[in-house]
Amino acid sequence: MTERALYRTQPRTLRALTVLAGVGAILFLVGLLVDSHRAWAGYLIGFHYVVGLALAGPLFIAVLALSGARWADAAAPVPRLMAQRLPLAFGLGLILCLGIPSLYEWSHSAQVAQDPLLQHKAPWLNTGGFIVRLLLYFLAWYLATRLLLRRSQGGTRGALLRASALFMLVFAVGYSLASVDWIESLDPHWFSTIFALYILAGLGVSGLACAILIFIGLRRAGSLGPGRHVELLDDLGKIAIGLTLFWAYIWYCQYMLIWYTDMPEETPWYVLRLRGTWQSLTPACLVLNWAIPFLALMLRRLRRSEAAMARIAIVMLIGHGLDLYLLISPTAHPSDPLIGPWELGPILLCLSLFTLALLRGLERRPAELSG
Amino acid sequence: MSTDSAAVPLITGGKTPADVTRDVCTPLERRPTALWWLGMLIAVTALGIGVASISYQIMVGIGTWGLNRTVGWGFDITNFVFWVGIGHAGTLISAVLLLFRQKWRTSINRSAEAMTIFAVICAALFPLIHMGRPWLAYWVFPYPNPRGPLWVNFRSALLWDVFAISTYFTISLVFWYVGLIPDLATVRDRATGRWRKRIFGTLSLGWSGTARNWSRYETACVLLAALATPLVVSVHSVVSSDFATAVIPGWHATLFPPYFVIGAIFSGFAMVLTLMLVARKVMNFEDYITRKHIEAICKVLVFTGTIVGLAYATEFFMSWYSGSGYERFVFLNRVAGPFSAAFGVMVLCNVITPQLLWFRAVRNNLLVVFIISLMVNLGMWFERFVIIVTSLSRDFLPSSWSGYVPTWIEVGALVGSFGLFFTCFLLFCRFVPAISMFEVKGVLEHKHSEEGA
Repeated sequence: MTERALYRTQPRTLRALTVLAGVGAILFLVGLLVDSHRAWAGYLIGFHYVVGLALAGPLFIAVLALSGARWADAAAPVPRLMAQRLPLAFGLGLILCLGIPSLYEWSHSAQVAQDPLLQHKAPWLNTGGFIVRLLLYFLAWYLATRLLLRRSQGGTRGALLRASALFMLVFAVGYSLASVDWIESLDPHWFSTIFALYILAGLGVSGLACAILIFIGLRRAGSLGPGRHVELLDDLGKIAIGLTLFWAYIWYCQYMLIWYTDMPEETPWYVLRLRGTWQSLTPACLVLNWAIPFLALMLRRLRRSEAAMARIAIVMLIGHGLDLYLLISPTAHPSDPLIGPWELGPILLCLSLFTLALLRGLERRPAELSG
Repeated sequence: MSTDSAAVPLITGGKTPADVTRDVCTPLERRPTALWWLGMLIAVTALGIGVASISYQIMVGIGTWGLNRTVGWGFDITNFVFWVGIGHAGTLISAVLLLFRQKWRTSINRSAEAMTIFAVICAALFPLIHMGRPWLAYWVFPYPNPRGPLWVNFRSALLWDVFAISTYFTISLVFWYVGLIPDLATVRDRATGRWRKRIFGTLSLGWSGTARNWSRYETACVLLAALATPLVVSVHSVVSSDFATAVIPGWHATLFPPYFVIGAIFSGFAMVLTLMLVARKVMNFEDYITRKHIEAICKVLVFTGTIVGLAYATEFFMSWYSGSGYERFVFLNRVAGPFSAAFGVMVLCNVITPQLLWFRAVRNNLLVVFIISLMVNLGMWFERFVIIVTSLSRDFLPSSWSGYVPTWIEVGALVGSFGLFFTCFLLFCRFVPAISMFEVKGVLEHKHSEEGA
């Protein structure tokens, strides 16, 4: 790999993104004063979005290594680039800790005192535990990712396989528990054993969509070197079919089983989300995350067109945003779905910071990106 | 799932295409070996035990089983779920791995698909005999009938099973048969006897091996693979709904569908491994089912086994986190209750021993691998037993709690299902090319230019 940067962003673009991040930050700060519940809910959406994209990087590297796949070698810089955003996600996570009182009912001792169920869960759901676990998750993910990135650059295949397997274990256990901490415990009375898998499916869909966009961007900039890029795009499209289908399958499993048994400890989650205006968002979520990408990707012509794939990826990313919104916001404002500056501000902040970091990552350390 | 070192060939022994045809077809054309007869003797004996047990049960009634008013499902449904699960590896290997272009599937897909079909037959047997009056089994199908308002209940997961399993069986059978056609034609072309030629000629549907034949054929295979792929997930998801749509603690968990699917793949691959380790010895297929295949299956096992372990852990964590006293009790009862031994076997065989497969030394020791594969089979049977029986025997009302001890008739039926499975499998090895010759020829090293038959 030459020392030339993989990609040079126009200074204009960087400035625009910095301005967007600044606007997001200001809106977030104002939002905290005006309606802290909504601002923190928005922040959690943005944070969770970024964590997912960052973790998708090492996940893809590990899965490709373990399955002995070589078809994506030409796109090797893409997941590495995403993986290097993990420290940013960690930084955002530290800020999240400040939002615990606004987001989580279980952090209020007065509420816990009069709720036996919250008392039962208090050994797990408490502010100190939340922060310590958040630190542990990120520490474990960071160390495992660093090892994986090193091993995937040099060293034996055996060492790479061991690092991949280690990452998979650390990721699977950590992300399952984190999904309980960060999202499932927003409604601390509710539980679902499939929940972590649902969150994981969302990570897969959004991470792949992001990877497809980066891949197309790098290809257009001529940064990827020779390779059968159309074939690769086609294969990414096929994987995307599988992942959207997986997401829909997990969505259906949870919904169908809770609807079917109709048990009072489980249904409130859906009752809240299928009431009033919220009701229209669930079908929209299914259409964006599953129907549109699934049907569009069935067409070989579209899978092999960069313009079409970029659009499909954007639909998937918007769908994932809506999915997170439906997971997080109903607890912040149950009566009606609200989307305004107080949600959009922090989401904008997190996503533009992520994009900025991605673009800067492309310029700074090209050697580290080669697979 | 691995092409560790692309340099190591999948098929060893420097085989030419002609060698492949000869090695695979010879066992079909000569008299069976003594080892085959011995295997057949054992399998048919087991089948006989099953036929006797089931006949007795049908004559006398379901009372010959150890079921009672509390534990309404025992060995029967455990066996059903176990056998359906076994089938999954066949479909996964032939359909999903075909779509993923995994070349190592070629030596084992044929027999794994056959295994699927036989396993589904064994599975279907148990709900059938559980009906008590199996001659009325056709009542499960929805069709206009003279039985007044008697009609199937579309809201019941048990009816979904009927559709899921019959679809699965049909597609698997078609897929397997279509996969056989070019090889049946090869057998036809080698046949000497008149009847043999005629039978295989009919079965191979006039295959002539032209470019047009092959082009159509490959399209058909990919389409069938795409059709079969959803079945890998759907069938066991539906089977899991038999439990998850109930409100019994330990049964109602939203995780059940994917958890059952991954368990099915786990147990199915264990059975594939068991069968392949035996087949390569008995049928002299050591050059076709190589260490590389065994290694790949072992990796699938350690991967799926770890996910199964994670699923167990999730269930335990959630039984506490849910704050539901019933859930917590059921899971503690699994660990320390009357069926704790079954739970111990399940954890030991499904979670702990497969972890040994992380080590290359273990994966290369075929005896140890064989033992581990048997243990996984055992453990996955016990997993279903634990789920079904512990939850039923201790439900909400302590006054209705009860135990469960299987009778010899139930054990006989289980033994019989193994007999049926192995009888079918041995007949398959005897009469049909057990390795997909035309696909194996495609992954041979291209050192030899000689044309095969």
